[in-house]
Amino acid sequence: MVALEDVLFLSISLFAIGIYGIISKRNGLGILVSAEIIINASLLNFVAASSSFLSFSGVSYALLVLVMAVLEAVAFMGLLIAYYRKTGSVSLSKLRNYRG
Amino acid sequence: MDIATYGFLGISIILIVLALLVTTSKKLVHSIIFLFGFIIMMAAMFIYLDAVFLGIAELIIYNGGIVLLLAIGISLMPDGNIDSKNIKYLVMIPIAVTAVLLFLAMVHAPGALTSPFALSGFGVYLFQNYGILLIILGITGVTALLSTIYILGVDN
Repeated sequence: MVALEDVLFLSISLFAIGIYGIISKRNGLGILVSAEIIINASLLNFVAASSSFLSFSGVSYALLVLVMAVLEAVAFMGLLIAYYRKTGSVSLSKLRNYRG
Repeated sequence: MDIATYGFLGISIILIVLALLVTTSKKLVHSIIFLFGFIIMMAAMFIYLDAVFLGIAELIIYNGGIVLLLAIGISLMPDGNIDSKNIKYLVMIPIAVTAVLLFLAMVHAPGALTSPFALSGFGVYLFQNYGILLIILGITGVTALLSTIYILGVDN
């Protein structure tokens, strides 16, 4: 088996890649996909810590986070489709036009 | 290094490469396909860490739900330049590469990581300790579903 630090470094790497994706993407779907990578990195943290400290709590919380990620994705997709119907684009840079 | 460590290294490298492909692909369809493989490898990593239930849930929920939802969402979008990128932020690619190299440099000889997880008793533990949370989660899910239906039906 592997040490906890190795899994945490993998999680850090995935988190950095996801942050890069969120910053570099302009369309909403790309941002959502990058956010899924970050959520999976956090799930990996939960599972690794739970496995290391011999507790069920991490896996339980990871399951809750997983379901919440699904709900977040569904709500974001609904908002994105409504945004596309209104603006004709999925580029979130057009949101600056709605700055009050 | 034993064969378990080689397995961990293999899964980790595939995960990082697939994550880089997801974030750097020019076409969204390719990103979704790479995300499909990323989720499968992440489920493999969960199963490797003895969280079998979570790995199976990840496969079912993500690959059966979110990836399909994203594919349907992409099919609703127009052709053309929906994959535009912020060029000025492309200088952050070295940061991601540095993170990957940091991970590869810090992986060392395996330590002791024991995992007693099994499917037996997990459901009882979950619902005894997190019953209230699950009820709140269900209410939140129903609210999200109804609000999504409302948002999609506003224009109609």
